[in-house]
This record gives sequence, structure tokens and C-alpha cells, in this order.
Amino acid sequence: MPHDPFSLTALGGAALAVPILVWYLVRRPPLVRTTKIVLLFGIGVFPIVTAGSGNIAGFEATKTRRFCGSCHVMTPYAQDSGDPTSETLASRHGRNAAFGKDNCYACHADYGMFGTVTTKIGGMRHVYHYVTHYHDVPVAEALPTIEIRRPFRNEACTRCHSTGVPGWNEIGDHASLIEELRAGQVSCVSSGCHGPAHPFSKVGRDPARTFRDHVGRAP
Amino acid sequence: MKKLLRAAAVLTLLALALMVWSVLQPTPLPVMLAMSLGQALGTGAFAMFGLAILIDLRRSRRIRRESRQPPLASLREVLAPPEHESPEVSLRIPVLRELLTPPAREAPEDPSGELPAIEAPAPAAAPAPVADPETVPTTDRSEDKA
Repeated sequence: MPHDPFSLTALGGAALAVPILVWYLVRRPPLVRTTKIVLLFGIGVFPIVTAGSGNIAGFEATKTRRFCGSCHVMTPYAQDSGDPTSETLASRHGRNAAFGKDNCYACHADYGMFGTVTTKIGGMRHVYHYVTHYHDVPVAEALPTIEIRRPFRNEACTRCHSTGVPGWNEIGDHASLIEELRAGQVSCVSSGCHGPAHPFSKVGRDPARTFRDHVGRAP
Repeated sequence: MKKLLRAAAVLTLLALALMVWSVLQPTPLPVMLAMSLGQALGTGAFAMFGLAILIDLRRSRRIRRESRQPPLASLREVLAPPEHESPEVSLRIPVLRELLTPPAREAPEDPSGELPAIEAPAPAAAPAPVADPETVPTTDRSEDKA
């Protein structure tokens, strides 16, 4: 049962609208002024409240780890990042209170003014690939083949771990690779540095292989 | 119009069901359905409701406008002869003709108390010009006046 105010508002609006609509459909009252006003609330006001708050609740729900892990091939990723005993990069970030239950979205969302929109469009692509390819693939079979659609961008890291602060530059590898890191030529989550974030999915994998190699078509 | 409203109510129920499903089970399929199909159904239902109300308002406004016209004037309009027809021709109902024609002057009574002698009827006046002979009633006008 959801506890956030938007979900509760959506459910409350629906709970108010449904009796009105059922009453109208069952009793079939004459269309007098009172009926019209009641129907305005049943078809207009309460459903609009439900749709508005339900949309916000839905958008918020798409950010959660539970949502990401609801596709069965993503379950190991979600379980690991929510595991307090795990030492993976994803789990360590998941234990950060600023990320919390939204830790998948916090790292994988695009940055910038339209980051949310482009992230949602990318999410729709994920759903498309899930429905068309991975829906019937067992987890054990899917795990070695699933690839991120685009290489993980360093901007996702540097929006928190700024390359401009002195502490970051005091580390020798950072200072020597700063230009390559900013240009995206070297990845923060490469195996020689801080990653991979989900190492269990990279065991025995050829890093040169891509999604196209596994699936046989461009993502 | 009632069918339109019933359809709007059913569509709203469907849209609400999708939205509630997405809230209670926030997984990709319900959320995507609620934000696409649910929105479309709800918007369509509200548009249908607005259309039904608009139709009802226009109908009630028309009825109100028609009921505001004075009854006698409307009766005159109904009984008004077509342009090609003589006014007398259209006044076929004696009662209505009595209502709508101004009262004729009454002849003064004879002080002698004797009944007036019956005179032979004057020769009939020239008939009113009739454009279309088919519209002229076949009954005798003298019978109507009696």
C-alpha cells in the first residue's frame, strides 16, 4: 500500500469518483441540474485530481529501485544495489542517504535541463528491448549478455564528485587523466578504476562485446 | 445524449481503474498504460461529458427562446396566409376568424320594434384575387358566414 501523498490523493480521488459513476450508471437519474453537477465531479473534478496526482506518483515510482528491478532480468542488479552487505559500487551508492531507494535513477539518469525527459525516453527503449527480446529469457542466460545501451557517462559521476575540487585532484590518477575523464575517453567505472558498478554481471565477459553483438541488432 | 453520458461514465471508470492499478502496482506495464491509455480514456470521457452538456444547454436555450414568444403573435404567424393567398382564404376556422378579425359595427335597433324586412341579397362582390386556384376552398363562403 503506498504511503506518499500523491498516491493517496490519487486513490482518494478515485474513491470519490467511482461511487458517483456507479450511481449514475445503475440508477440512471434524470438529467437535471443536480445530476449534471454531480457528474461534473464524477467525470471531471475527481478524475482530474486522480490523474494529476497519479501521474506524479507514477513518475516518482519510475525512479525507484523497485520499479527498475520489476523486470526479471534486472532483479539481480536491484537486489545487489539494495544489499547492505554488498561491496559493489552500486551498493555503496545505494547506502548513501541522498540516493536511497532511487539509487538506480540517481546514477543512470541523464544530466542537464532535459535529463529527465531523455532518461524517460531511454527507459521506454529499455522496455521495448525487454518486451521484444528479454521477456522470455531466463536470468542466468540474460545476465552475461545484457549491456548498457550507451557507455556509462562520466558526467553521472562528476555531477557529485566534481573534478574541480582540490581533494579530487590530489589523487594522482585523477590528476593525470583529468582531460581524458572530462572528454569521456576514460571511464570512471572501468575495471581498472572504480568499477564495474555491477561486477557480478561482468564475470567472464568480453568487454569489447556490445549489445549489438549479443542481440544482433542496434539498440 | 444520455448514451453519451453513460459512455463517458464507463470510460472514466476504465481510466480510473488503470490509474489505481498503476498506483497500487507501480511496475512498467501498469504505469505505462495509465499514463498513455488511461490519460486518453479520461480525456476522451471528459470531452464527451462536455459535449453532452453543450448539447443539452443549446437545446434548453432553444426551448426557452421559443417559449418566450407571445402566443397570439405566434398564432397569427401560423395562420398568416402565404404571400400568394388571400387573407380570407386562410381563415378557414370560424372560431379563429372571430378571434382574429376586428368586431364589426352593430346596426342600430329600429325604434318601431318591427323586424326588418328581408331584402334580397345584394349581388356578390368581386371575388378576391386568387393566384393558385387549387388553394381556394371549395365550400360556399355564405355557409361559413352563417
